Amino acid sequence: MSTDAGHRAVREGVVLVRSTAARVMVRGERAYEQVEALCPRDLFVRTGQILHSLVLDPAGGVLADFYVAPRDDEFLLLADGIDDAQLLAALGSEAAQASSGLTESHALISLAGPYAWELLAALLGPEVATIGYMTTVPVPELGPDALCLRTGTTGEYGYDLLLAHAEAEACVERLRTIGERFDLIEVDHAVLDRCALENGFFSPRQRGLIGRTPIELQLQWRVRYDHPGLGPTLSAARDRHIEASGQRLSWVIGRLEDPPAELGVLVRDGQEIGELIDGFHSPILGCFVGLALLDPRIAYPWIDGIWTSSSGTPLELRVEAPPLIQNRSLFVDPKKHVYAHRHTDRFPPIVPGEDS
Amino acid sequence: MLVGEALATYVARREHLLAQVRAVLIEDLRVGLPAEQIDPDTPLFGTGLALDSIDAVDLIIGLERRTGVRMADDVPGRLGLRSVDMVVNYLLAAKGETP
Repeated sequence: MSTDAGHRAVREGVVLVRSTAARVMVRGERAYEQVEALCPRDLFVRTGQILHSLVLDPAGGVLADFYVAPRDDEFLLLADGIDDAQLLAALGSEAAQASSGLTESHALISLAGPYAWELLAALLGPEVATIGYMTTVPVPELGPDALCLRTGTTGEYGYDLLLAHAEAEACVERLRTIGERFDLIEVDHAVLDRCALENGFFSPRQRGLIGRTPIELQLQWRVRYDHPGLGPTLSAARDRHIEASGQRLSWVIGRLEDPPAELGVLVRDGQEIGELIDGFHSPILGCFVGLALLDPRIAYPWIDGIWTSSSGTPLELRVEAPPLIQNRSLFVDPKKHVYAHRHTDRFPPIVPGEDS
Repeated sequence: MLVGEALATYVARREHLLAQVRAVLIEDLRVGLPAEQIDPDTPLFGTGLALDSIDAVDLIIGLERRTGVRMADDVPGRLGLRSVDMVVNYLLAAKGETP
């Protein structure tokens, strides 16, 4: 299965991914304090909810995408971009004594796509499939401690199933069997990372992002600068960045007729204005889409005339505000639509400006 | 291509509208972040500022009061509420001020 085919399936159907995110359960009397010390955001979250934040490195740079899901007195932590050992180390030695990594015991199976809800409903019932975004629900059908999390970084319906390895293969087989009528395909993280980029979501596998500060990555909503433990480091990192360059992560697109742009320095009006750090040719949009760190005087949507200056033919790029696509999941209504009728249902176009 | 004074005018216009959107979020919707921490590409609903459907109504009313633009209850209006900068894009388009 090609990456492009997987990409289309995320946008139009449903895919299955075996997640590699770290998964740790924090237990003990001081669990709240230990998670609070790691999470740079207010730990204002109840059982059944998910808090979206970041794991930071000691310098205040971004290390991983971070989800916190309390379960009564325990906290399930998911961190995409690091492994269990790294997450336990970040929690500190005291927390590590009462906490446990779950990767050896539990699988994390992700579903994504505008019809992911329908596949999940066929597996577990409509009540599970229609839980709210950033919420969790126990799924005892998949094991005594199995959990469904409604998350996702593709802009489409997204679910993570956390369940014991002993139950996981049977679950995947059932998904494959039921998934035949959804043309379900299994893809790797590269596909979801592309979709995350199109939608403006951070992924730790996007090139050139790890170690950068929340202000550079436009992720300041995930932190608080007055955090009792992490605040001073975060504030110092922010101030250093503003003083140094103030560059801001921006989304850029190429012209329809152009080949993919080469990463490297970007110029505009004869001046070096930033760097193209990641990108790919989107089979959905039909053009190059990329991430650039741009001079803050240029980092505004609809500013064009930005040129690559690599060894190949210079290509023009334009800044755009993500999401770059009109996700089908915004318009697929579980009360009205089903995958089988997708060709006769009318939806707004996925590509902005195209006729539906 | 925007350069010189035209570029400066465009950037200033965006910054003015960005400030108005941030003001609605902070003053009308009580978003608990300082303005400079609401980055332009911050998502508004679901993740990001995690607004809900009631907030959406307050946001639309607040934007109309401050900018004179009413975000329509149609597909462009719905898509225009996905992030702070998407709101600014919508406002600029509604005012006929796209570059």
